[in-house]
Amino acid sequence: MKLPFVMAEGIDGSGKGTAIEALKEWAFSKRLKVFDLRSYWKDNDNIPEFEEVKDYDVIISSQPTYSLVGRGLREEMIKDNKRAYSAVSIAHAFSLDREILYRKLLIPALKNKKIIFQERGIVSSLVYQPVEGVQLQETMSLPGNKLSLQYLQGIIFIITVSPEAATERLALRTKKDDSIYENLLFLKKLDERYRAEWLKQLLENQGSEVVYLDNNPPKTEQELKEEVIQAWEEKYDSLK
Amino acid sequence: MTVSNRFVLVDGLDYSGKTIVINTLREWAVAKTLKILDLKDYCQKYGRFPEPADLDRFDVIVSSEPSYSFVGKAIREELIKENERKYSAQSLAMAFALDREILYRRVILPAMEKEKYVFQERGLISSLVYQPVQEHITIADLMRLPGNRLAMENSPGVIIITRVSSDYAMQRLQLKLSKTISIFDNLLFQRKIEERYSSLWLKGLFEKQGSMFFYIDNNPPKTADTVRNETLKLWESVLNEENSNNEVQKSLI
Repeated sequence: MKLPFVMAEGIDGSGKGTAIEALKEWAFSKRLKVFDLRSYWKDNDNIPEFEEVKDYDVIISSQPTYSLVGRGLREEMIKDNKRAYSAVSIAHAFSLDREILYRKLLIPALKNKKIIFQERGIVSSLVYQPVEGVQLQETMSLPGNKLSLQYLQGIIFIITVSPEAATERLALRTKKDDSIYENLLFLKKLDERYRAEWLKQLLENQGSEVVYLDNNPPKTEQELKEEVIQAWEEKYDSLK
Repeated sequence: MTVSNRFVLVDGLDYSGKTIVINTLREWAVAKTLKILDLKDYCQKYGRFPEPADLDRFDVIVSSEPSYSFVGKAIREELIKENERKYSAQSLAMAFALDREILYRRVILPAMEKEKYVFQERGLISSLVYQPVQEHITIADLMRLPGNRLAMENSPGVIIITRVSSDYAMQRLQLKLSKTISIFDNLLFQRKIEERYSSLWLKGLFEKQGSMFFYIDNNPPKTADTVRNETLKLWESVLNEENSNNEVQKSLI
């Protein structure tokens, strides 16, 4: 059975945020009740119980989360602070953050047929961590990663953009992540992996549908949004 | 990395008297008019650990594991809390090691470098004692986790194991049943844990790293006051030794 689980993936600056924004606007246009974890995390350092959000139709999520282990990642481990955490520790933290999010909220939500729109997730770990030095098999065998691979039967948007264009977009941002991941050579390696056939195969074998969206200039935000909504609506109709 | 006697780790069964020992050390610091940073209070107030530079105006860091920020908060509020979710031994072990790594890199190691005192309740020893009993995970598995390795390489100068018979610990536990109960609480389990805390292999493991390993027994009729006096005596002997070592070093120069 297909799951109403949509993930947006791609390198930093590719337009994942825009894709999620489009899906959120779609949900509003359908008068669905939207629970946006990203706003929730501004005031709460935890992950809500499913009970607390059961009246909503759509959950908007993001990984790493902005609470607990996710905050440890964002504010300490992948922050550029000279404390040099190993690739193994970082992989463990991503997996643990994911495991808590899935067990506490996403799995119960999927079982109750809620729609989930999420920025980044397991695919990011499969793409990033081997570049950092943790092998793919090892990454996939971590408990939180193994768990999330069992819930891939949805739709994954991989938004592609040239690393040069992504870097330009990142430079324009006012909100800087200050993370260890933003340099051109690194982005190029990631871009290659996001487009790789093995990744597509792996995700499809887990029952996921993979949709690539090109977001190189001169494509506008509006055009990307329309493409996302069109692809999602086709899928959504088949779910009903 | 040289072992610092200013780093004291207190570990032992629940209700064995760890807090009495830590509080005694804290009272010693207060009497010396040293400035104390209580990490639990700090984390709960600011929702994060202090940055290394924030440690400068303090002399003593009082710490505990799991911590109260980031991964430590996740451990306390989700992973070991009674709920319908079951996390594997592997996930728990990774979580404890991660919490430890962040705590060490961001607070403990900078504090050592700045020659602060660190008094910590629970740590790597708790992982080595508890986790292999909970489910199938070995000491070797645990020692492969980066946070555990880091803590082993930076072993405290002084380790104090507080001991109480598991039967007595259980009695005290029953009295406090109204509080949140962790999944660890049952007698058989406590007995195994008690045995591991007293084991020679554990002592040997840390002595090999240069730590001094002490036991403080806390079975009735011993009172909190006796434990306090014993702690203070032990701590003063450690400090005297440190002073005489310093004297020797000075005379060599």
